[in-house]
Amino acid sequence: MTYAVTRARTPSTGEVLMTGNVWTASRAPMAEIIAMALRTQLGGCLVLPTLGIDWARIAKLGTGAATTARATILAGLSQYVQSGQITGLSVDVTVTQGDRLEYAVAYRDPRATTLLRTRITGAI
Amino acid sequence: MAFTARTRSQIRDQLLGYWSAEYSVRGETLLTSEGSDAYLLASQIGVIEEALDAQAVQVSRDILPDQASTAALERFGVVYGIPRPVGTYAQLTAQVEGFAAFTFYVIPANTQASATDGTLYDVTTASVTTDINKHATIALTAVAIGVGGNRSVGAVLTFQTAPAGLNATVSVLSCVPAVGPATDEVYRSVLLGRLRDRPASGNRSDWRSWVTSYLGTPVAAAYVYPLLKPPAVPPGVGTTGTLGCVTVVAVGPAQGDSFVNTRILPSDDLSSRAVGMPLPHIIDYINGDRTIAGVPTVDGYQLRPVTMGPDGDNWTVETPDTFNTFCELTLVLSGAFAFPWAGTMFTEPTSTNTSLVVLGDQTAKEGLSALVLPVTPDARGNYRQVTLGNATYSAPNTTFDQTLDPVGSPANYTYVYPAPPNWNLIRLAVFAFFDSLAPGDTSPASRWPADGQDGSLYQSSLAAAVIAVPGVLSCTVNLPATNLTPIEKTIYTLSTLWVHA
Repeated sequence: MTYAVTRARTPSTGEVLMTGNVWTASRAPMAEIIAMALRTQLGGCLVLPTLGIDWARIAKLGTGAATTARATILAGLSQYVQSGQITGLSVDVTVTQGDRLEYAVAYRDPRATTLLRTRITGAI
Repeated sequence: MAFTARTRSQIRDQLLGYWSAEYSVRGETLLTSEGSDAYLLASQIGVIEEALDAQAVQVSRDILPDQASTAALERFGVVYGIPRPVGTYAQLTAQVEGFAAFTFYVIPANTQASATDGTLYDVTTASVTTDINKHATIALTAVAIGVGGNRSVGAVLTFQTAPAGLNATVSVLSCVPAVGPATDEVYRSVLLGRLRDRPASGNRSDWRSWVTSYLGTPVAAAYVYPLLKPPAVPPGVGTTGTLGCVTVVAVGPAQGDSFVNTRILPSDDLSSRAVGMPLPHIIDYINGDRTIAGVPTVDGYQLRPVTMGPDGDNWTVETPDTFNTFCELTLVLSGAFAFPWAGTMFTEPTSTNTSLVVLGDQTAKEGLSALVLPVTPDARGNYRQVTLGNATYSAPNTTFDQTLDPVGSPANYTYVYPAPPNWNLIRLAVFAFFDSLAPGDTSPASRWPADGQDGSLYQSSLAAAVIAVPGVLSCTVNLPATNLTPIEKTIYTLSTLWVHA
């Protein structure tokens, strides 16, 4: 059992994972929040406008796209660092194949029993 | 208990608290931090619930008329059968010209005249007799309620069909302006008043409602005296404690700065005002012989109980009787509002409208403000404020040239007082005080509504009203010399008002 109960979602789409008629509890509660933020355009969630990453400001074909993307992701997730919900946040961004921007977010959940870092990857 | 709406964040926090408690019972901790699944779900519900709370607040206000919205007020009016007061009809007098002097002309029934904008007026005068100039005066009532019927003096109206012998156009001489529909606040007070004192079967609230709803002339208030039999020959007190009788005193709008006492309603809905006398148009309306606008009708609705006759023996609607009282005030004024000169002056009989002659050498008062009493007053309170003109002393009198500021031929041997800079505000305060006085009550008291007063004129209340004027530090009421309590149906009115140091 984890330190807190929350629903598990498919990382890429956000669909709630079900077991029969019952939703599945996530084994990494903080990862659900971070993944939710990474799936959301900043300002797109009307009930919590501060949720999300400002993906729109990243020009993938522009000069310094990787640097901009890293800074943007860090900015979007910094609120969780400031609130103490995650520590050791790091973001790596790589531009591949011209217009594919791959990112990897790693952090430590201080409330979790494991000391391992959680790593979330994605691409836009 | 009033319902208090919650904000979306309050609702969210309440939900999260409730859900967390439920999980705690199961030995689990719900993730509720910002951005969590539960947090977002509670936030979404909060948005919806906030709107529902706001609607609930409005519903809680709308269930009673004291705080209801406009639409809900209208619905109360429909349910209780109390429509929003729609306003009054404009009442005009106009000058007609006949083909000949000293000639009698009949104006057919249903004759109408129209203004240039198409506004129609019913001519309520049945016949006229022209004067030496071939002129006569007719009365007209706007067909439609509201301010659209108001006309300025001199406006030209045209008969739809000119009566035989009269010119087709008439010129407006006077206008009793109409007022528009009642505001929400006025309508609310009407509804609340009717709910608290429900009219039924000719009770006192019925009588007040009938009188105040009359639109032929603006009725500001009506006071009902149950069991008060009208006098055989008005004006008079009548007979108290008479079963089956009722007297209603109708009071017009506040007089304010007008020289005409508008609290005395006109018996003809126009200008004929007499104290303590019946108001035949309103009586006709209650009998069903006139419309609510004061126009004669043969198919009106009789309002009075069938057990009461129409002749006014047992009931009447009349103007209040009045008791004129002098008002002399001794004032202490602040430096900024000090009296412009000290003492008084005394008028001599040789004064005219443009020449003020006073006893003694008063030349030092040239150019200062003064109060004089015209022999025929033309302003409420009688005293007129003037600026003293060029002064010439010829023993034993001083003559002020009042060509530029006429003094209205001052009454002989009367005092002239200094007029303080806040004289006009003092006047208006005294006027408002007198306009607030209700007609007197019977003994024992029976007048309804009581309105929290029995019509008494208390010196302390008058002084308080004057002290409220900027610049007045204290006020001593010399006249009236004592507190005054009027007899039934009588209001105290202001005769002459003057002030001094």
